[in-house]
Amino acid sequence: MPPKDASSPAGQPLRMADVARLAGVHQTTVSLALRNHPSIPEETRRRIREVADKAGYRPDPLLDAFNFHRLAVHPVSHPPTIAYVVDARHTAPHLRQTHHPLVFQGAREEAASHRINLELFVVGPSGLSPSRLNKILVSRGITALILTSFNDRPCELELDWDRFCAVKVEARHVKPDLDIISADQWLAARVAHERLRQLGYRRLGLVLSRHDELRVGESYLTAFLVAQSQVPDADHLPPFEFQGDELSTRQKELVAWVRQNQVEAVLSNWNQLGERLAEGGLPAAEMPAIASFDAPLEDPRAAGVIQNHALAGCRAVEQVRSLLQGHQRGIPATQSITFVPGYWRDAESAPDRALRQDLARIPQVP
Amino acid sequence: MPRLTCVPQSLVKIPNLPTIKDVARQAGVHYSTVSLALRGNPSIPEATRLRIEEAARQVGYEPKPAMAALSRFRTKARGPAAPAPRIAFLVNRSPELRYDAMVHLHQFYEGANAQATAIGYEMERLFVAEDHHDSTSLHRYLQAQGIGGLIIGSFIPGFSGLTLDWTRYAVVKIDSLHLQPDCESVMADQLQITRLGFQRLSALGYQRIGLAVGRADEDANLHRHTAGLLIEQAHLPPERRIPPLLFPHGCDDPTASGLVCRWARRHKLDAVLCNWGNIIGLLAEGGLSCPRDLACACLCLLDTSGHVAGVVPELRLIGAKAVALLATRMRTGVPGVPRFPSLTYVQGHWKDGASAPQRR
Repeated sequence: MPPKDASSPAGQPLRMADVARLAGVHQTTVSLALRNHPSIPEETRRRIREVADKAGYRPDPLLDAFNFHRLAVHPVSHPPTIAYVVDARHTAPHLRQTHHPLVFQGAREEAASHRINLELFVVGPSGLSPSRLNKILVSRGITALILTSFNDRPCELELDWDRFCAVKVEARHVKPDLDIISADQWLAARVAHERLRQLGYRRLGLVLSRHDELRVGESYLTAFLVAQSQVPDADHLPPFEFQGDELSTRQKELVAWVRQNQVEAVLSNWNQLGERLAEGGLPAAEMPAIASFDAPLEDPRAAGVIQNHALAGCRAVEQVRSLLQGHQRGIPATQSITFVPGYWRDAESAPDRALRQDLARIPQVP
Repeated sequence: MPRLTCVPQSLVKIPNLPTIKDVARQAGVHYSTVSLALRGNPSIPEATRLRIEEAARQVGYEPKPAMAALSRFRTKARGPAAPAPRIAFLVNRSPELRYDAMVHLHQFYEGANAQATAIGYEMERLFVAEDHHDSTSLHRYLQAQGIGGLIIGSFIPGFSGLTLDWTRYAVVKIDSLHLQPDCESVMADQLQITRLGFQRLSALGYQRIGLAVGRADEDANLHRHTAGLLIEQAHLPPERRIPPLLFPHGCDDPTASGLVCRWARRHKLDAVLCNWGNIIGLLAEGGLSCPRDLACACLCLLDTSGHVAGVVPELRLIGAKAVALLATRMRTGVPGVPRFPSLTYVQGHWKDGASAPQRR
């Protein structure tokens, strides 16, 4: 219970109107000020917050919970909008990338369950300029924003950030340092390493995309190094590193790396490694086991970690709403990162090693 | 056309949650009886109340704060306001177990409490320890008080644990990864903190930087200190990759001092990163003076007024994040632990200090 103040009628909690009277402003000004809205001068916001604190005004979480259920039952004619901003050099191929539509779909479903629109905006050479985006968001009164990026190199998105409650999905290399929601790549790499060891593989090789590592803060390599530090030195293999989409032109080098290091199992967040190795001339009999840190759900033969990309999208919407609730606009002084875990799925591309060797001994029927 | 897609809004179907009318049907009583029984009104006989509670469990009915808000909304003119929803902040220390000396627990609590107040929740700190609550008494207390949200506040391994019916509560942990339930957790980003410490010492001119951490801490946090060290060392020539020192479980100060000094001398360290606050004392006991013999940076620097350099974890922010997350779960009115609980890591900040001066 808030402390009682002489200005509130007996037995009644303090209302926004009471704060308005004490501060000598209109109720709507109080509402905006307590929501930290940039349309109210900073000094006025601070004064109204002080008046509210002193009088013992508190927002009401019960009404908030009530609104949650009310909105679930009664649709709103003009639902609020969260902007889902994609920063990309080339739009089309990136939006078709395996995991991105899943993140977007998860975010959209979570938003829809609260009767919130999620609207896609693309910034970059083929889309909006940052200043144009800023203008659109401001004129449409959109204050909530989820940012994700497919840029290859570090960059900065310049918006008037003090206006927005915003989080990022992955995109660690893109400024500003907003709070981040990400699939747990670190966990995926550790789980995959551990499971392959259990399945009997000892010489585990990492195939590493330098661009992806930038995007995810070197999570795959870090986790792999930790996992590797807990196994004998003889089993430590150098990773195969590549830039961009080089994998489709460096198949022979990939095969040479497998042979030279006697790799028993390959781990990567890139799929189609089996095809690349075959293109490089590796016969099926020599094919290592293949495990993905981000196995496609729709391919039942691919062993690896199934990432909960949709859940990451859902969590991103939740966090933006939580920022809205606390009126926390702008770039946080301290960044935090939320990781959404995936789970391992056994499949034919990484069978039990003993079983695989037994199978190889069975004579092939011509 | 800059805006490429306009997304059709496919609204997700919200399942109809069971109401007291469903409970009434199940128990074969009028719904007003259910209402009275579930609120423990003495006009309902004990046997009937138990039967109705069982029926409520069967149909999966849970009282919802939203509905409490609705009834309050309707009766506002007539009576006093309903109390704010409540969160319990649990710690497994107690005043008898040096709780007052646990600076980090206080900071977690302060941050959590400030956030709770800011969004209108009430928070209560409860001790789970000898002479205070055990799981049984805690459960009774939480139920009697109608407390639906729990923060497990950095439970320390080796002290009291906790077994509750987790399906009845919204739960968020601070640290405590060793402990059930497997729920959402918020903690310091020890990987980033170790990397930051390493990078700053490198920038100050140190060449042979070692990491010393407790094995218990590493086991409890998925080896994230070690991970930070390994990724930093990956960029160094092999001869400068110094193996980390892990203090064994339950290691006392004299043992730790001997270990850390032998390790520092053997590898000719010029700087040590450590998550223990007394690292400078441990080195001094073994005859190594900081910063004369080697520099020191603390990876969990709580006292920022002194001369110690290191990384300051944002413990109050961790507490605040835990409450914000818990409020998100409580607001839906659906208790229990998510199937895929996420982990939230909060970064730390570097602080310069005389224990790690710029190297000539």
